[in-house]
Amino acid sequence: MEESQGKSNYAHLPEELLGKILENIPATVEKMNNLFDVQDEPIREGIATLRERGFIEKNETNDFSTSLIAVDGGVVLEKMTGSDIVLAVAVGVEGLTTDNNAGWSSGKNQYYQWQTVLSHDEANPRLCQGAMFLMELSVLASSDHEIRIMDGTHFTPILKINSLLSAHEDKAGPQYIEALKEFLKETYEKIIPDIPEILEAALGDEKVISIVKYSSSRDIIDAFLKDKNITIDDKTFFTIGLDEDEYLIPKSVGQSIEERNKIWDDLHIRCNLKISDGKFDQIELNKAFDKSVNKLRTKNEHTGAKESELFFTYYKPFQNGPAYRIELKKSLAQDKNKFEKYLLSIKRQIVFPEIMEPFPQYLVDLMAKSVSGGLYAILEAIRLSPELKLDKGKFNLLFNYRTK
Amino acid sequence: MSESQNTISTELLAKINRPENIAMGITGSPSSTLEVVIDITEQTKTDRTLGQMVYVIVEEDKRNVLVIGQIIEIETKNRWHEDQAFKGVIKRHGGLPHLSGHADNRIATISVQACYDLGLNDPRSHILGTSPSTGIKVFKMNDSVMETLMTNYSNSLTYMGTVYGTNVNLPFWFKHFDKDDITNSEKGAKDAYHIGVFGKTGSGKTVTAAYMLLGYAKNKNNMNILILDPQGQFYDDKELLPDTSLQKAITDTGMKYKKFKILEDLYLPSKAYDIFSTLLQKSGFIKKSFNILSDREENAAEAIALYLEKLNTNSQGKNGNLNNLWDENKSYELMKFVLKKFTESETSTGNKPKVTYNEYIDIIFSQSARKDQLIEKLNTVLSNEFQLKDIFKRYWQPVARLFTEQKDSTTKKTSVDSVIGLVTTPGSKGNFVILDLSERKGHSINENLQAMFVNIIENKIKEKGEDFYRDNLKVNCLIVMDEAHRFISKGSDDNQIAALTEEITDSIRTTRKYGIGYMFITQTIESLDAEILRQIRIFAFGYGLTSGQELRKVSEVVNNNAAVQLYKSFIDPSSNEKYPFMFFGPVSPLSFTGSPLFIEVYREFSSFK
Repeated sequence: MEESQGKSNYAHLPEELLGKILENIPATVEKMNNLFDVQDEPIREGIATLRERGFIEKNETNDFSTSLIAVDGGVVLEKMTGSDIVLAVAVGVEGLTTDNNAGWSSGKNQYYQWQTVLSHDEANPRLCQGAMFLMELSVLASSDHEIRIMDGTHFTPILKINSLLSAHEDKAGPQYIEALKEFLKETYEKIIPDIPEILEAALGDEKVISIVKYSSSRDIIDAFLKDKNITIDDKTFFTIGLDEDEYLIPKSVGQSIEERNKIWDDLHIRCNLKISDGKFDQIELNKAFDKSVNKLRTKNEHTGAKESELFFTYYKPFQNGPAYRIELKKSLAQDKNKFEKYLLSIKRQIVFPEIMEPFPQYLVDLMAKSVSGGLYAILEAIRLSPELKLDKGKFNLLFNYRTK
Repeated sequence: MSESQNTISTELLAKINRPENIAMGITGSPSSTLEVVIDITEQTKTDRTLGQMVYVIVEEDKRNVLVIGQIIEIETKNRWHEDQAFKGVIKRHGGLPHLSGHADNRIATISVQACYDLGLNDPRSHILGTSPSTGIKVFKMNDSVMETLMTNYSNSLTYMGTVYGTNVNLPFWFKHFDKDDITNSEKGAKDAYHIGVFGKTGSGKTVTAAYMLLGYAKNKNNMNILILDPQGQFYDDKELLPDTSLQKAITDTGMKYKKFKILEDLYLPSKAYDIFSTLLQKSGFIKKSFNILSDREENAAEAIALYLEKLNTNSQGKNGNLNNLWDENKSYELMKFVLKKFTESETSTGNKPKVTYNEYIDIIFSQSARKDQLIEKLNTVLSNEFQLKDIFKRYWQPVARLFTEQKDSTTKKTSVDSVIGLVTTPGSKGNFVILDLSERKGHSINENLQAMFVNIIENKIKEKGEDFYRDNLKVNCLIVMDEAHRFISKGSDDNQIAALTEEITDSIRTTRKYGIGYMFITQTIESLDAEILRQIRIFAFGYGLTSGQELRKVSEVVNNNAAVQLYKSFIDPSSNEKYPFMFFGPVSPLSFTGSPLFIEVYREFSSFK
């Protein structure tokens, strides 16, 4: 190999590559600066406008509850040669409490778990994600706690569960339906009334709220501050504009046309799969789904626009911390005392600045993410199982060889 | 063998596999053949674990192997409490609900002590050939399993304490230094072991050493024990054993108990002129009578020894017999004779008269002027009867008494030789001899003199050992040195101590093959020469060797960091009256892997067996 002027014609990897990446950091920082080049003036004006309109209040209550949980889910889909191993979990954990007797009462599930093996199919991700969300809602619905935090916005589980049950459109094969049936059979006693009840509780019970980690919604800005030339999203806007303990008086979702069109107008869950071998009324099921989801929609099939029964607020518990987008049910939004109690309860779960979200939400996220460790254990156990009836030649083909 | 046959192994397995047994842990990872990691079960998570003796059955070559070990380290891990973000929660909230305590994992490390193959009728010692699999239940040891396991050794076991922090009796064996004596069921190690018992004052080292001696005393048909006792603690027999005397306990074993005070009951050999003259020097006799510079005193001592030896030889033993100095007149005459000898000179006649000095004064000085000065001084002393008697009384006769056969006008002393004979004569076994070297009733004995005695005894035993060895026999004797740091001190300014240290260091290298073992009982491991430490096979470490230097030495010996940490955690016995010890070496059927054993010695003698 020739070398010219002491320079090798083969790169020193990965050091050289890493060096190059680090060299580009200033350019990246500059781009971030541009993105966060937030003009203070429009925000101040925007907040002032909302204050003038009586949209912002300060939480003055001393009342709070420690009967609080957060629920999250995790899913891992391990692509192997010829098949996928699927593992989905949903778990709930309690918040900070001094009540030693707090917990899940007997007969209530703190977690759900489902695992299976499927042949490769593009529809597999929607199957396991849908299962995960359904299990999350199941944990939320079956808990006795006064405040139950769902991770993310309400519409995500609706989208995912709809996707789970309407895979027919994507030509999901018989394997998909079999796996779905197996999941439902293992997890629920009966599809009806179990699943509609779960949906009804999660989407209708005021005890279930959701806190959104990331949100690009501009519902408030688009609806009320269009003339202010504010380019950021609502969450960033309220993070900068609100003072400690201030909150936006809850509004129903879809204040802006954009948001209604994009998300809330056509929200639906529809099952078009035969998901049970037994007697099963698909029409009845879809009716029940529609009843639950309809409360959240911003459009009526017959009368046009309507108010959703799902409300949202932005709440800033600490001066130097973020504002949180919280979705809540109409009944809670209209009960100021209870609503403020919920806000203070949430604030007391935030160990600021170490953990920037309610403690149980942070913890449950970690718990749910640890599911990937569970999958490695499953894989290893399968690999070592004496019951695995594969001849030697096929054995090594079974597992993937991606770098971990 | 049919499966139904009741053997020790099957009985053991039956006891081990009882369904009511509660596993305290599960074998984990990583583990080796010497250290096994276990995960403590939820059910026993709050039980005392450290020091606990445990067992686990592992499979090797399709046979059951019983692995026994002691827990030398225990650690609590809680991943949530280690997370930096959660530390903020703990700081403010005081804990993590449902995670603090609940999500704890306790991981213990077992130091493997012994393994037994249970594939045979009787459990047989086994060296683990593979590391234990994970997921096997680990149980706490109990007396029932231990007793069954030890069935075949029961005759040769000594119980002197319980497993550290538990009530399980820990078996020890103290084998004599010759071959197995099947007739008398006395197990032999075929080789002598040197032993070190270390611990600060109040650590229980004397009690522990006494228990160990009682263990060795069970070999009464094969072994002798000699105790060199510089403080008289063994002689006085006070607080050696709880609730009883050592004399009674030793006598109960069938050993013959004898004790002597070296100054009152023993006399030194009649021809030990070098010792005699050295003692004269040490006593101040030479300084007082010769009045010479101290650098010449040693020469004078040498000259005295030479003269006395010659005197004895020339008189065919009539004169200069050191054992006959009980008669003070004779002794006084001998002293005068010695001093006078140095004053003798001859002057030749002629034009140039020449003075010829005697050979002894030549040893002290080479210059005539100095010799003349010395002669003048000695003549002055010799001419002063009062001064001479004072020197005799204060310096000469106390030394002479160490060599006299008579204790008083009616009783005779015992010769050092015959005491040595007690423990080194073929066929003479079962003697337990204590030599009290301590200062008594006005005797100006000091460590120097003690060192001299020890040197004499040590040399004589070694000589005997060589004789035995030539005849293909073993002395089979344990020499105990209490407060060993008094005799063995590397870098001591005292020539006697330095010489003795060197002597013992050299001796312990060679005497093992003669069947002579040493037990050093001392407060400090640091004072012992590195070579001596290298030769010691059995170590007993009591509380208190925790200074940096000492702990380093302990670590060098044990070479097991977790074990040293456990040793470090010993609590001062004065606070709870428990006497913990770390034993290292071939001292128990459970210690053949070379891992240390941790015990608490019995506080009641009635438990000893």
